[in-house]
Amino acid sequence: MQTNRRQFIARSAIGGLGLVAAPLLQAGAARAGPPPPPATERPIVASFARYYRLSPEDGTRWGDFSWARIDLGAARPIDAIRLCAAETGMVPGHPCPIHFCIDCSDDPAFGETRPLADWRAGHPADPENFLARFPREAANARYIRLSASAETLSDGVLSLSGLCTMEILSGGATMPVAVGRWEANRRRT
Amino acid sequence: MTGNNYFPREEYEARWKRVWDAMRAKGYDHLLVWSRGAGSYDRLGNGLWLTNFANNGTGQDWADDVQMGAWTFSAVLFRDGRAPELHSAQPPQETEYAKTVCGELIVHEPSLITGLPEYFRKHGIEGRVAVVGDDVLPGLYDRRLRSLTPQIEWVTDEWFLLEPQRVKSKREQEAFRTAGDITTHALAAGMDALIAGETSAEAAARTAMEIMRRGGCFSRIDMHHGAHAERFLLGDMLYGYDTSAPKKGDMVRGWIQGPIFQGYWLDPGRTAVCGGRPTKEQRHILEGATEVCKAIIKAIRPGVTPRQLGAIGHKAALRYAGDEIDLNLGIFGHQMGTFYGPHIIPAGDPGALEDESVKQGTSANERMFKEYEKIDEPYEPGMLIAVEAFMTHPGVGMSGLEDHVLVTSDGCEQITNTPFYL
Repeated sequence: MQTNRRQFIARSAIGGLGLVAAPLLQAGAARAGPPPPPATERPIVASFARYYRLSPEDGTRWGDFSWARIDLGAARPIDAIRLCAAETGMVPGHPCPIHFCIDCSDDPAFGETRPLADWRAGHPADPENFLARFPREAANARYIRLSASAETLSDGVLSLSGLCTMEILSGGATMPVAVGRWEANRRRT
Repeated sequence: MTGNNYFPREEYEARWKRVWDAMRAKGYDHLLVWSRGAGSYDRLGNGLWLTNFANNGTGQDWADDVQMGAWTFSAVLFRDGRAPELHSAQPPQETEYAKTVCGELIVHEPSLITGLPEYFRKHGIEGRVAVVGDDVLPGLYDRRLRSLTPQIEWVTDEWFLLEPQRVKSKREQEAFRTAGDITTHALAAGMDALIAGETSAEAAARTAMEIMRRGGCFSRIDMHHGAHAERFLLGDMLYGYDTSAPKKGDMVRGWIQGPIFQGYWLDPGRTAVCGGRPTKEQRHILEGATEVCKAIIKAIRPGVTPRQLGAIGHKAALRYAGDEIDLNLGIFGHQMGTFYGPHIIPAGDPGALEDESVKQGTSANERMFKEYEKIDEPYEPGMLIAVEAFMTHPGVGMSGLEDHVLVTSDGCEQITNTPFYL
């Protein structure tokens, strides 16, 4: 079903927990691009990872940096991105994150990147209800990376891993993105 | 917890300073040192030396080609003159991170291999990054790491840490003395068993017991005898020993290798005759190898060069030359530290180094040129030197021994003192 940007954003407003990042396209506009992958294709998965600083002395963790990478399978228009949290406070909007970014690239190594959203704690708007504004140029890319920095960790909760679902509006269609989880690091043998 | 460490923090800070000095000398802004622990000891000593960290586990985890876990690997990053960062993927609840000594400890989940590139990008690390441990990181992980770091020019410098590690501190010398004492008792126990006609396995077990009861560790114990010991330097290829027993009159040989104490490696060895009564021919090659080592050790002092020692050893070896006797002139020793130091004592004067470099690629028996690059560099107090010699007489046996010395202000101190079995 075709979805325009206005409809896509409106749904997030109803949800209330989402962060929407969208370029300033004409309302209702849908840019041409490769069609979203059919359902029979391998689902698009966002892979999460993070690192954090650990005090050897007392085990305190801080300075968390988490990120997710998404491979769209081909360069596609990126008209908007919606992130829905599993719980309130696990996406930007929680006091924890101090920096949140969305970049896109055609390079899997993200050697060349284009920013789609860049929010810092000092900004007046809370990204929980903040419509991040892209440059007016159309974004078209194969890879998307979301990253979030946090000063502290609360019981190891990762700001990005709190995401429940993610959707990308591309060429008038909504592409669902599965949220990949990793099994906690542990001894294998 | 670090107060219980063998080395105080100041020891590590002195090491870091030597590393920074070496980085400046080579024009490196960034240095990454890979180690793998988990029972493998793959360059583990480097990470241990820098941060007192050792990955635990079995070392036999299956390769993770999806998530790139690589959790038995760790990396130490030097950048911007800061205290080094230890990067690891081992979960804190399973790891004794409290013992580590570093500037910052950074834990990656789920992958060190995909996490480091993000870290580099976020911290603006680009351009040349020197790397030690290319021989540790598997291709699977290395290829992914490189593909994710197009902004980095990886500069392999495997021997970079040898210079900062070359002269041992007072505390390191103490560690080596303890390691020497451990192997002295352990090798004697194993050799006594072989001389008494016990099996190679029994001899290895007695050796291991003496090492382990003293808090030490080994990677391999080789105990063998007879025709096998004449043909092969080391014992059974899989374990180093088997359940066969020597016959009276067989030449028997024992060797210990490993991170004996606090991760510091020694590799002493001895040869004897089962029953303790060597023939004239056996005694000749036993004495020959022993005299070569004794002559070299007697000459070790500050200022002497490996080339000079090689010539001294060769001269001593020639006194035992004879029909069919192979003086087996490979090398007469090497430096030691957190692993085998590759800088050797040549077996004789190899001549002009330029001639050596020209020989590269011309022969299957070519020398590893870099081993020779320090043969004219004088020894200094605090260096740890392994001295070794071998002689073979077909039908009689192979004699070999190895000992270790610390260079002192006016000579050297032998730290492995297992008896000679003449």
